[in-house]
Amino acid sequence: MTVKLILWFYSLLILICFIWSAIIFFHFKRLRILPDISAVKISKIFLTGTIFFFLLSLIFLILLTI
Amino acid sequence: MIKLRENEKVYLIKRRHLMVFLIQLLPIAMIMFLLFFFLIFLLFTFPNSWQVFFTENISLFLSISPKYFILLLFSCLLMICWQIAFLIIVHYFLDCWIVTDKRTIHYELTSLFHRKYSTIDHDKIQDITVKIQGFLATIFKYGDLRIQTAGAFKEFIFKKIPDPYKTKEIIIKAQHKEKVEN
Repeated sequence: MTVKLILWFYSLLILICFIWSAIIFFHFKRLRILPDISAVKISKIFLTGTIFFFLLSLIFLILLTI
Repeated sequence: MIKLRENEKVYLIKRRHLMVFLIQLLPIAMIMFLLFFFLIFLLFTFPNSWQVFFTENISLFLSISPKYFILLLFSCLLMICWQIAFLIIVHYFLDCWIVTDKRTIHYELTSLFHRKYSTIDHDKIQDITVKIQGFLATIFKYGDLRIQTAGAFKEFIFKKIPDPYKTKEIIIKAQHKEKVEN
C-alpha cells in the first residue's frame, strides 16, 4: 500500500516536472533579447540539469520498489 | 525581442559582474553540494543503527527500505535546489544593459514569464555617475553606473557591472557622436 502510494505520488511529480520543464525549455528557446542574442544556451543548461536530477531520483525510486 | 532602429549599432552588452553572480549562487550551490555529499555518503554507508531506528519507530519502513526512501527524498530536494539555482542563472544571463550608438537599453527579467525593457536616448542624458562601494567591488572592479536624464524617466542604473568607468566613457563617446551627427 505504502509503496503504491509513493509510486502514485512520484508519477504525479514526474508529470508536473515534465510539463514544467517543457514549458521552461520552449519558453527560453524562443526568447531573444536581440536578433543575435538568444536564451537557447540557458534552456539547454536547464534541460541538462533537470534530466540529471530527475534520473538520479528515478534510480532511487527503482531501488526503493524492487 | 528588442528591435533595433535603422543603422543602429550595438557598442556593448553588459551583465552583472561574474563575482556578483557567483556570490548569489554560492549559498544554493553549497546546499546542493552538501546534499549531494550526504547522498553519496548514505548510498555507500547507511548506518545500521539508523536502519534499526527507522524500522522500529516508523511503520512505513516495515515495507520499504529507509535508505532508498531517504535517498529519494534527497534527490527530490536536489531537484528543487536546481530550480532555484536556475532562476539565479537566468537572471544573470537575461538581465542586461545594451549600449548602442543611439541609446541605452535595459532588459530585465522580472519573473520567468515577465520581462520588461526600458530605453534612454543618449541626447537626453544629463549626468553619468559611477559608484564603486565595498571591498569586493574595489578588488574585482565592479560598481553601479547611474545615468540621470531630464525627462520623466529620471534614473537609469547599471547595477554591479564590470568596468563601470570604461562603460561611462563609451556612453559619453556615443553621446558626443550623436550630438555631432545631429
